[in-house]
Amino acid sequence: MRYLIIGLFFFLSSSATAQVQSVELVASGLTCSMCSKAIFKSLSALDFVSNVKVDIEKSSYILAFKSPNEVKIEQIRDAVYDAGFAIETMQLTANFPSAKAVTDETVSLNGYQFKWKLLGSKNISSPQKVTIVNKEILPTEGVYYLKF
Amino acid sequence: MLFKNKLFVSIFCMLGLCFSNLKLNAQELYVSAEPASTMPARSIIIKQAYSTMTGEKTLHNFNSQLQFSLNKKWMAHIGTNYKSWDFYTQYRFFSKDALYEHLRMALYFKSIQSSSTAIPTNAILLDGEESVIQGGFIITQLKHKWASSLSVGPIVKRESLSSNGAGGLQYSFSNGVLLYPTSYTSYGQTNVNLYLELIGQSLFSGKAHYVDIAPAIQFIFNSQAKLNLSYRLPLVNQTNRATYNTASISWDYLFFNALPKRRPLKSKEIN
Repeated sequence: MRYLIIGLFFFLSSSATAQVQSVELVASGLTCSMCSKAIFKSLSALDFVSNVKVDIEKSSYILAFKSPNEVKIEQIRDAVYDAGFAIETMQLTANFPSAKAVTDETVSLNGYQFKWKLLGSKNISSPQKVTIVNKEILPTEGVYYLKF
Repeated sequence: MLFKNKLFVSIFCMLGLCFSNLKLNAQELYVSAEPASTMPARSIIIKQAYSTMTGEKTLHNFNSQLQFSLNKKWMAHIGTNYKSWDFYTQYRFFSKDALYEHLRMALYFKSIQSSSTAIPTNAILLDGEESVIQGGFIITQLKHKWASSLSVGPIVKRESLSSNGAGGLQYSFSNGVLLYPTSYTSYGQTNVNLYLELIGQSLFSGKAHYVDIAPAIQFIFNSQAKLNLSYRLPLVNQTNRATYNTASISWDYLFFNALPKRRPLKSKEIN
């Protein structure tokens, strides 16, 4: 039922929500290649991920997707935590419906609500790379921000 | 005198591992002890080990082990050396990660059920010669080129569970570094790691006490299979253990995502 509600919400909001094209994340808490491979395998096992490009030295992972509509940010986050590590930064490249970002204005990203964190306003190019400010990555409670 | 020399060399080696070449990366895939970190969720490891223990007598030990983790915090091992069964479980309750570093803490419990008829010694044996219960706490710090882990906890022979003062403390201190490669380019690179571990036991009665040193070299193939070679010998040995030098070779293979996927994480579980 929970997934049905999330799915319905996602469907209804899809016309006004930004679609994630690719994700670049840096994982934290590791230095070994076996640990890096654990994250790689965990991310590769996600059914909406088509390709994972890794830089082992930098602990960075670039994810490409089969379809932007199917991207589940929370599953990406969980895959890294399941491998036993955390996320240092997550950058998303997305097509935003609005041409302008205004500070504290709400923006929907694959169905999740964020707010812009910037000085004043900025024009958005398409696609646009943004960073999730909060360490927990996705809104649980409180205000979650995107920045350029 | 010999002990002082060994101790000096050991401390020198450990300091060397800790403060050597800045390009070295830390490794905590220890050979003799477990770090507080857990295996990747839903993974399985199969492990085979062979060891020769020498001293007043010689023993040969084959150990087969299955290790698995149902989630990112909890893992268990089940093993046998064909005259004993051992069960180990570990729960990671604290994790603080940052770029190239982490601090982790875990609790563990181990039980060995032995059918061996070995002559009892004043030490509590963990090689399958006796039925033993132990538990404790592990703290592991990884910081760039430096990975150290400390474990400590009570240990007791099953037969003396009811007698006061029959148990003791089991502890370990482990350090490890990556020797090769100097920079990672692919998962196919063979990794070579060096470890220096101290393993100790002190009985509450004060009647037995040992501290062993266990240097080890480890080869990791395809970021998935490990080959470990280690030699354990006593630094301090105030026990009547019949065997106290141990040469070991072991290999293990990690199967990622081998167990079925669980439900999505709840927000409060993110840590």
